[in-house]
Amino acid sequence: MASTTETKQKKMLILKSADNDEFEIEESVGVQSETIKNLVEDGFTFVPLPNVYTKALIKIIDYLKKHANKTDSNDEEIKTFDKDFVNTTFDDLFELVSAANYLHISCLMNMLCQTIADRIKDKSPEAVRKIFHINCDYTPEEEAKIRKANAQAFEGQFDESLD
Amino acid sequence: MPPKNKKRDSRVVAPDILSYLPENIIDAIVMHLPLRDAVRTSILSKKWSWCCTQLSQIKAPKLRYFAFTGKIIFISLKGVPLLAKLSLVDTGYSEKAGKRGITKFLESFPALEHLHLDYYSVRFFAGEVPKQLRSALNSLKRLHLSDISLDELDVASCALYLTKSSPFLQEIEIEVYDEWIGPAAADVINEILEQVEGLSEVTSNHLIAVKLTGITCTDPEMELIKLLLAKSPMLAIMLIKNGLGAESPETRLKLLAEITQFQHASPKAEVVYELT
Repeated sequence: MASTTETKQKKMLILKSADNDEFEIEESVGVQSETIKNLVEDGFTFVPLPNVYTKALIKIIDYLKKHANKTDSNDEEIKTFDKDFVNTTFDDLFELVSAANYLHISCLMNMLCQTIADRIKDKSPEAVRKIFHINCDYTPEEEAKIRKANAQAFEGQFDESLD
Repeated sequence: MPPKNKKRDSRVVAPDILSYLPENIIDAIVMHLPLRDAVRTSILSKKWSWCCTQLSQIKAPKLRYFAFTGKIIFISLKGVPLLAKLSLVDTGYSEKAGKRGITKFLESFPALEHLHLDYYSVRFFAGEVPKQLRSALNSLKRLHLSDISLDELDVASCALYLTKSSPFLQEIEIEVYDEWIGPAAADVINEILEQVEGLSEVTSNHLIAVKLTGITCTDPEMELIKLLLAKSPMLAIMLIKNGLGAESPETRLKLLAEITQFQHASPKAEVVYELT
């Protein structure tokens, strides 16, 4: 079969996750990541990714494969894929955005930051703190001062939900 | 099993995800937020407050009009080559005077036609006002300064620098806020006068209309009116609306009458007084 010979000719890379799982992908798929591209240009075919865990890496490889096959005709398909891709928990999004940041995949980074921003934009500071697991280190006085100084931004009702 | 291992096994994101998310990611998320929501993140924790001051570099290659009321320290307009109208009203006035130099500011807007700044935003940019002109706002047609004070050296210098840097200006509107606590000291007034006299270096060949409100006939104001009349050959109208000021109504009328004696470069210039 033609595709078998093609596969044989394709350059492959091995990515190793932080939890030591290995994934074989086509070089052309991997080089959408600037980090991987730089390593490939230096002759590496085995790429350890000590900052990316398996769970995130599987999703990211999926994303890279989909976007590597971008053509004029599958625009809608990719849009649907992207929509599903970001339809997950905040913690997953944070893990993905950290991985995308480490791997320097700018389109993915943009998409994830936009998704996170869209999902927190109308939320109350208390809800955002919980979502980001932030411990507030302001004294109540300091906090009151910031609220007062930016009164306009704190006017109105905010969404308290955490999803 | 110790909880630490359990956590690692189930690959839960570390509870302190904040210190786990690198600053550049936090920045990137905040930059994707609408400004009002972005400002609100300053309350989350000290780290976010720090990030918020670095906020919102607005890059908008097709932006034509931008009006902003808020803390201008939070915004930075760069990459707006087509911006034609800009209005800034700064409410973050506390300690931010002279935060950014006016020359850098001017360089960002090659296509600007209308510019409105209030007192606090002028003050914000009044950092280093150079003696010599460095760059010009060659497209600027209308300059509007609101709630301005011509009795403060840095603000007055900055306002005058803007005027001098705009050779194609057609319209100037200056609203003087006339309830400032008291007149400036004599030496400051002299320095401001020197700055105003600097205007005599330039001829405003395109200036058609001048509107000055809240005028109390202080020395810098009188000098400004004198020079604008003397250096604007195309001037059609100068509207002067007086402010309250300390002088008696008689003294004020006398001072206003003095303006009628000023030399006009434009034969058709009409000076209109509106007395309150």
